[in-house]
Amino acid sequence: MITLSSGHLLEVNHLTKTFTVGGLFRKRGLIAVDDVSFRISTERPVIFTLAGESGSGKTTTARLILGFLEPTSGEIMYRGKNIWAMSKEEFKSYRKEVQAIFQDPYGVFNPLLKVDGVLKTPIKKFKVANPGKEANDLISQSLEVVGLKPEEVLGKYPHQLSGGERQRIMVARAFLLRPKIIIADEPVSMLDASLRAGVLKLMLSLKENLGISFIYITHDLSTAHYISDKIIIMYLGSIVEMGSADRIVKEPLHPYVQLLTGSIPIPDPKYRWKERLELPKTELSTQLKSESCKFYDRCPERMDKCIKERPRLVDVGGDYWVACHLHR
Amino acid sequence: MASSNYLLKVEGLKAFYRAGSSRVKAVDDVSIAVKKSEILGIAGESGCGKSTFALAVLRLLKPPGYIEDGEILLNGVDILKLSDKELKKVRWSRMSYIPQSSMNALNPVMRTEEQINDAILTHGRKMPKAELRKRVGELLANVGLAPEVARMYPHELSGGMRQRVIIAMAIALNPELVVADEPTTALDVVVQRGILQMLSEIRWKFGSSIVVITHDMAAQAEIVDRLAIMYAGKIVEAGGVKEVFDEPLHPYTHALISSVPSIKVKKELLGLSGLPPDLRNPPSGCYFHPRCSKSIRNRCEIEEPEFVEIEKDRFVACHLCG
Amino acid sequence: MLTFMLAVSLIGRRLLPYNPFRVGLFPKNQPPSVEYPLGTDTLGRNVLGQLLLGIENSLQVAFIVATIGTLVGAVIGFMAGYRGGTVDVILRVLNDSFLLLPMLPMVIMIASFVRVVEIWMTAVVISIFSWAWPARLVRAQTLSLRERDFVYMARLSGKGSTEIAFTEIMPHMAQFLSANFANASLWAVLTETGISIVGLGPQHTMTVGMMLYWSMYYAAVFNGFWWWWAAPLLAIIWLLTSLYLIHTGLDEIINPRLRR
Repeated sequence: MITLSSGHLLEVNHLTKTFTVGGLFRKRGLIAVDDVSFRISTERPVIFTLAGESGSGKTTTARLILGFLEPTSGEIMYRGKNIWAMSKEEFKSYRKEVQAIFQDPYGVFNPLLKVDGVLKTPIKKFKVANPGKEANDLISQSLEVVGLKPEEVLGKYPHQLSGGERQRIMVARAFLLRPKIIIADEPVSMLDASLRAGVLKLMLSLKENLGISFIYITHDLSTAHYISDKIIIMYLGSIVEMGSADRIVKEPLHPYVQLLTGSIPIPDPKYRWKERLELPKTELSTQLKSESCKFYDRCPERMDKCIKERPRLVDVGGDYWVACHLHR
Repeated sequence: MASSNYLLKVEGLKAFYRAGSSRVKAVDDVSIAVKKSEILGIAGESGCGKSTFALAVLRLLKPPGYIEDGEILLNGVDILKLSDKELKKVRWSRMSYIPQSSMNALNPVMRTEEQINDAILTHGRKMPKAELRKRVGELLANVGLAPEVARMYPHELSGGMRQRVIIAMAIALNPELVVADEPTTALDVVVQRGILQMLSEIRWKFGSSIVVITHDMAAQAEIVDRLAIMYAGKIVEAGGVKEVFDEPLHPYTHALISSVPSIKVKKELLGLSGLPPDLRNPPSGCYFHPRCSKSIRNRCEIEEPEFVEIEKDRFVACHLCG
Repeated sequence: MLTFMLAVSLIGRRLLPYNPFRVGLFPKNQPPSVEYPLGTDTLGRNVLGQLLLGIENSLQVAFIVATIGTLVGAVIGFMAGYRGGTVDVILRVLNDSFLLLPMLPMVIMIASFVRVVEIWMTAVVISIFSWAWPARLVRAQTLSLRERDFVYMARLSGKGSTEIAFTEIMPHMAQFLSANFANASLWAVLTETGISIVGLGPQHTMTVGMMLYWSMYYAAVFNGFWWWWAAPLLAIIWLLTSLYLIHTGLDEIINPRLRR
């Protein structure tokens, strides 16, 4: 058991991850996650979104938090202890309390095995129930919590179930370990619209009724706005804006976030995009200096200052943070 | 309805897939029309038959798929009755196609200009080299790409740029009809907006009609003029996009629209339980009745509703309306 | 199809009342007829008898080689792919060098040291070269499978590395490995034929390849004894086709998705 020694459940401090890419001779450093910090407190469960487009570093951050990758610098503290400094016991406890669901509702299953395996394995490994009746009861109960009927789902192979059902099984699997945090990496993007609502509402109900916090990772700000309390927008590895979901979507401050929220299609023909967006004519990769703002090339409001000094994340009031020279 | 208003008229199209000893009714008696210079959206979830429909209309359907019945009138000429030779003249110069994930379909070892040249020469007339080069330059400019892109290879371009190259190829011969199947999936939201707006522009600039096939209802709301909703191989509702969104008549349409979160309005998301039907063995009566919250007992599970025009240009197939 | 062939050769072997290898038993160079269904050769041996024995032996060689090759290749490839790092580098270098070895000259060299006379010797010699290609393929598969979601999910569920290797990754590769096995068998048959034709085959007994060798040795083509070389040739083609069909059939069994 990890005892609580600080007020926060999960603390990510100045997390950075650099990958070296390139062949034998031309090695480059790719900074996937750049000085990312945020916290999840123990007081109330929250749904926290890490949003960004491809290449923003959100999935890498998830992998770091789950302990699949080791940070280049910075720390991930769970209940006050650095996860890379934990003993085997403590880390096992961490794994039990911080679980995940992934994007591809098919790829997570072994197509040759029945889906029951995916539910039985964690019970066995984490010893959350005695094998036999107790375990089966736990499985049935968890399936019911996620809205599935055990008799309709157990004993089947993955390809015999729909994407929505498979994804719910993954939630049941995470849930039966009674985690404190579930990291959901694009859990609905591969599902049809009518099935998405079900999974999203399930996440909300797990938070409200069972006190599980979620870190929701997505590029879809519409669904993020629907279920999250707080949103963090990442761009090329750095956090550019962080705050309440409503505020970010309705009154974004950072030019990149404004561009993003303005480009979201609204499912109502009454609200259509007003201006014409000019897409870049070529997207040749520019060598960004490490001292300038990463968004400089595309920013409509860039200033000289932006190329000389990278803006830092500052609190502009009400626990709302922006990294932009326009807002200090 | 003046027939000169309509570019494409599809009547009673039926397309099947052979599967073992049975067959799948992928497109089940579909009738829809596309006006000149308009954007028609076809929406529906996976398995509803929209992609098969697109392939069938363009006569690109390959075995085990086949067209059993129907008429496809392009400016009054039934495409299904054309010979292969006549069809070749129609393809690309009068109707073109942007397949799903086509940005990944670019030949990785050919430069952009070579691929566009291919498209032009295969389906159009022969052109001298200088004229070809000029045309490629024009096309790239039309989709907002710099002339340097012509000499580049696909892997040097981003996903959004590759999609624009594909669009350039599709409009190379100024077709009257462009069918785009999921043109923006897998693209970032900003690039998606650019592509959708570009499709809209193509309609204004060149007068082409565009059929946008996508499950993304928000994308449909942003650019289409008229919208058709498909479910289990049939069109269940069609009409002007504003009318369909404001007052969805069919319960499926209603469920679909209410399943999409909107950042403008915080509303309760509806979903749908259950699964789309197995098209080898569709349910009796209305295909949607097992999942419908408003189904009328003794009517919906017995009788298939007819696709009727209940108002001018407003169609629906449901026992609840008319 | 292969089962039929296997059955034929196995049963045929048992039924053989004499040693087809002995010379001078039959009238020489007889074309096919009812009494000698595939004719006889210059040494007075019954071609049909030879063929039956030959098929069985060729298959033996094929399966031994395929088993060794696929097993060794799989283990090495997997270790290289899963562990990565230095282990990977060492194994890869080993693997690549074996791939580059020119087989024929090497076999000649080996054959000059060890006179290849028995079936198992041929099998061993060919096996040396058979593991390199499967190893490389398995490594590539492992690398790609390692990053797949279900591996991460298994780790999240508490499985350790070795367990993941066996319960998650191996089953995914089962289909792949069986395809490899069928391929390796095919390749082994061809290689054995090739080696034998050149005279490096098992001299003390008969394989399909050896039949071709003997037929060439005695200039069967020139002399018009077409049945002597046509029979083994057809047998080879039949063997290869049936191995391929088996491979496709295995696919269907192993992958539940393809099960009807």
